[in-house]
Amino acid sequence: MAEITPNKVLDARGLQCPMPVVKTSQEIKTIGVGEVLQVLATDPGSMADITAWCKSTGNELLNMEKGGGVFTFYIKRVR
Amino acid sequence: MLTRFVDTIRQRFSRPLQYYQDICVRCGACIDACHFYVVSGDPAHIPAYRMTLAKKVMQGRVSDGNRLHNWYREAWGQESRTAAELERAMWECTGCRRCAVFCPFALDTALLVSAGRYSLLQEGIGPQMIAEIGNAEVSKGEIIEMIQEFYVDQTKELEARLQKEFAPDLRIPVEKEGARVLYVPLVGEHAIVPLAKVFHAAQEDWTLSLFTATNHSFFVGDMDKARQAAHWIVQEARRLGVKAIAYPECGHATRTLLSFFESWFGDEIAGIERISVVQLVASYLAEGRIRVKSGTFDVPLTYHDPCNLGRNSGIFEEPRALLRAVATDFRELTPNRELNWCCGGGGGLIAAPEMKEIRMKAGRPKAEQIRQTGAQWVVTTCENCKTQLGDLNEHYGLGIEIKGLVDLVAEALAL
Repeated sequence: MAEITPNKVLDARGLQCPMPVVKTSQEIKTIGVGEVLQVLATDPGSMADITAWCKSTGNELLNMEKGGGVFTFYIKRVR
Repeated sequence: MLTRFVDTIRQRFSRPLQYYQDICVRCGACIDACHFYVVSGDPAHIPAYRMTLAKKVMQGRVSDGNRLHNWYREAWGQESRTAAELERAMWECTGCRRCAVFCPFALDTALLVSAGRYSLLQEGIGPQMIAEIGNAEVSKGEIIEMIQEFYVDQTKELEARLQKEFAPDLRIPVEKEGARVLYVPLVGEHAIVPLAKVFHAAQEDWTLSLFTATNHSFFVGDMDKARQAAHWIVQEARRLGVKAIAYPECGHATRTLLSFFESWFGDEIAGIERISVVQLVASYLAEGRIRVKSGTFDVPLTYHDPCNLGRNSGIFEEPRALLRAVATDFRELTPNRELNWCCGGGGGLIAAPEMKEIRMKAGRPKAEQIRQTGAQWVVTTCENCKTQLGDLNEHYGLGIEIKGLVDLVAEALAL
């Protein structure tokens, strides 16, 4: 997959449920439609939470990665 | 304005709610029972007034179909004032039901608040964030296959770590068919690790759910979505053929399991026991399936009864039995059990950043209660309470630590 350049980065490391989703929802509203938010999280449960949040809000999850105990999500604001 | 609110709440107004509205004589017994009113003095926080306000709006005394009437009312700002009052009445409430305990008729204001919140959201009034998280929980079942492999890998990593740290033969089974107990955790390994240890010690035949127990649609009174989110778990339980569903230290989720699953799922849930881990772990201790090193903790500690486990589900003695088994200096809050003060963080308010200020205010009676005990640790069994108590600790400078009950039991296990 081609490297994704985010327009903004949200550091949600160390936050517990449901704060990664709360912060993601707040931050996505601060970028333009078509732009990309990168979210960093340490809670393994954020994988299901953020994926499901993208589905229910209609935003596009471009990619998710795991490395060094950190989960990275790339979310494109769709609307 | 408020037309959608009125239309929706009329549809949601069940017979019990009508009776509550008719029966309430506004005696005022509920006034000092509400932690919001005690600290704010705002009439919108008086439980009986919440009933009156809803009645006034539903009777068309604030908005009706007549354009001239509505123009006149709007010109005087009556509707916007009422909308703001309704917002405070319905959202600045944790649904703790302390008012119902003091009410001579036991009127259930929280039932009104549930319908009121859902109806206000149709007007776009209230924290949308809670509903948004609820929607994501409904969608979880549709994406679970996408993340299942990853989740199982993560669990294997956690299992390997606990085998090194705790017991070489500890297992964290996922999707185990025929297991006796399906344990549905919260997001985060802190809700899995202590249970994995206790289940290992009790030699329980268990399996970890792919889902989590939280149900934010329940907080906003959207019962259709609350049911949909919970249905994924019921389907999982049936697919695996388990005998029991155990819910974690989470107040509102426990309440859905113990008080709503039967009416939501009927025959689909028949024969499957529903239990809180607090009850389950207490039963292990009572039956001798686990042993603990008595007096493991000598620090002065107290127990906060979460409204949804205590007042709303009747789980009072199990946590105390567990605490007395592991601690030497257990001190009760005054008052406690069904009269306990709510921490101020329930009803989903934790998930709404704009509610932080009112949460801190509404938590003042709890902070004072804690201070009076002189306890250094506050133990509780609800994730919302834990977060709120942590915030209160910081806000009021209480100098305490917040602990989970099963964490303490896991730490005190005698293997």
